[in-house]
Amino acid sequence: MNRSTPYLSDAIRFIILAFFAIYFIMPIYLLAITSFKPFEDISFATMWNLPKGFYLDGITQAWTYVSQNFMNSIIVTLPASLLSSILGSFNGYLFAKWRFPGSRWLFLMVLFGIFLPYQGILIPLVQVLGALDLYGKYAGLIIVHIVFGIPITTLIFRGYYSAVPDELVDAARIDGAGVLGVFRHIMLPLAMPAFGVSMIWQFTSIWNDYLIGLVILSNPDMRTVMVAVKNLTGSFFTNYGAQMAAALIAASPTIIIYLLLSRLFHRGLLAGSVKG
Amino acid sequence: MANTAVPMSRQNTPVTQPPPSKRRVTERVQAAMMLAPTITIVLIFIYGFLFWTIFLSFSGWNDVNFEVPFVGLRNYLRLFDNARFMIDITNQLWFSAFFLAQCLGFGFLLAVLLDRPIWGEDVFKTIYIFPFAVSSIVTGVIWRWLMYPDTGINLLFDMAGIGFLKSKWYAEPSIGIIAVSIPAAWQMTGYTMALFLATLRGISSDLREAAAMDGATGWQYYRYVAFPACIPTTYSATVILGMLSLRTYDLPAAMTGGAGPNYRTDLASNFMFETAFQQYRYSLGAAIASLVIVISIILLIPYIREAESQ
Repeated sequence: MNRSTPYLSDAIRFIILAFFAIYFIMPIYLLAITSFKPFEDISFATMWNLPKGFYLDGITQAWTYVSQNFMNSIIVTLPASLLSSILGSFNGYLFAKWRFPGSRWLFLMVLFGIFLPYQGILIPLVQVLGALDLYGKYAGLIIVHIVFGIPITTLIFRGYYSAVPDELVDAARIDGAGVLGVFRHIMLPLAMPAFGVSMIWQFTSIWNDYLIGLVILSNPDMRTVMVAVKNLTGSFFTNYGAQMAAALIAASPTIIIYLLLSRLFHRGLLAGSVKG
Repeated sequence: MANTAVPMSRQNTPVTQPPPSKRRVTERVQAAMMLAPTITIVLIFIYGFLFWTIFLSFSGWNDVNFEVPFVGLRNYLRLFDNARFMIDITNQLWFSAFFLAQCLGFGFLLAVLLDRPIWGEDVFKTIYIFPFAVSSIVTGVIWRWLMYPDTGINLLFDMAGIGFLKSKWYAEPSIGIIAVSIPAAWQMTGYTMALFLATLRGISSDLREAAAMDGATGWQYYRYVAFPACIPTTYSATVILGMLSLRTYDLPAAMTGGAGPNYRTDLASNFMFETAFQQYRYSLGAAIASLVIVISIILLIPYIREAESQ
């Protein structure tokens, strides 16, 4: 053990860390045990009891409520994540490697978009989508998610491309490659990890979005899964077991991605806070 | 300022590189043109819309009046005359303060505890950051029942024999919005920890060893080396979390339906949504949104400026 910096014994550190781990896992634990209980076992008094077995009644019933919405969310999330990542990879490359007068200011203006307070753009957004005949349509919601995703994807890719040595770019230029040639032959092949980070980040934030989907898709059949789960909380005919099961279904894609790809997820996490 | 940025990226390239040629200029123009379409759209959707919202807030536009007449400050005067809006401002201050305190306090504590290697650290980190991947709606549904007065946390307190800690949480008017800040911080504490941990781990081992050579104890190392290194991180985390707290909408919606008892979990975002999209009083909604925009810009300007200087 490093003698120089023991500020707390490892045992005490471990106990505090484990205490917080229990706190952070507790709500997810409740979500899981409730979702796999039979309906007759859902009661306030026995909330913390383990299910007597592994019952899928709750999940099956919740699935009938939200299956259509789950599909709707897939229809929106996949193309929006992919396209915003592709545009981000291109913009990030141009900002990182082809600085022109004013490009830094332009980049900072785009950076601000990451912090955008959504309330500030909703009213014009509805007006403009209406005028373009995109209001209430999947295409409209997809476009909105792409546009508002570009700032963060651009930032992720710019950070990644900045680490590519300029010498590589110059070598390719000497071989006659232009702006697009450098992108295709040098940058794009190197960028696959950044695509992973960007896709995961975009998938998570678009899948988890509630407000924009709520405002843009007014037709009940087209609602996203988060809007459907929220609406279940306002209905009186479902007990909390069904709400929890629906929430578990809605959360499962991002939870699975997080558990499988936590390393890439972690990198996206820090990208959002890097200094321009 | 903009023209100093151009040579910066080229400073370290070898002298064998040809001087700025016609080709290089052409390439820069090409790059700018390729960037133009998407960036224009982003700027219109962000800045154009923000300005349009502010413009609307000075108008009398609603669903029966499409003329968009100029009404000056009338919407703002109405807002500041509105009891609900005053409650919202108070709620927002309490919410942001408690949300920030939990995220920064616990996030920093966990980062310091995880700074030196410990058995199971990857598992701990995975667990702490996990809620960040869970949507606010799902978080709200879970905590709605965790904080339900008849069960959940109160039941746990009873089982542990500490029933005196029981609370009605979001159903208790005096603390409603503070109860909502707990799940909000549950989501973002792991993220804050990751920011601090990246800073602590980024302190060079030379500096650590130098501190140890000088006989610094663990506490002194943190006091004189690690904590000061975390000040800029604290600042950016405050801005990021502050912005998030301003746009919080989903969580109270899922927990209490939005407004809660006597508007005690109501935030300006919910008031704005109801005003603009349920009552169709667009201009009044735009006035609420404009105030949020102005506060956001005030928060962000120093942050962007610091990013600019680096």
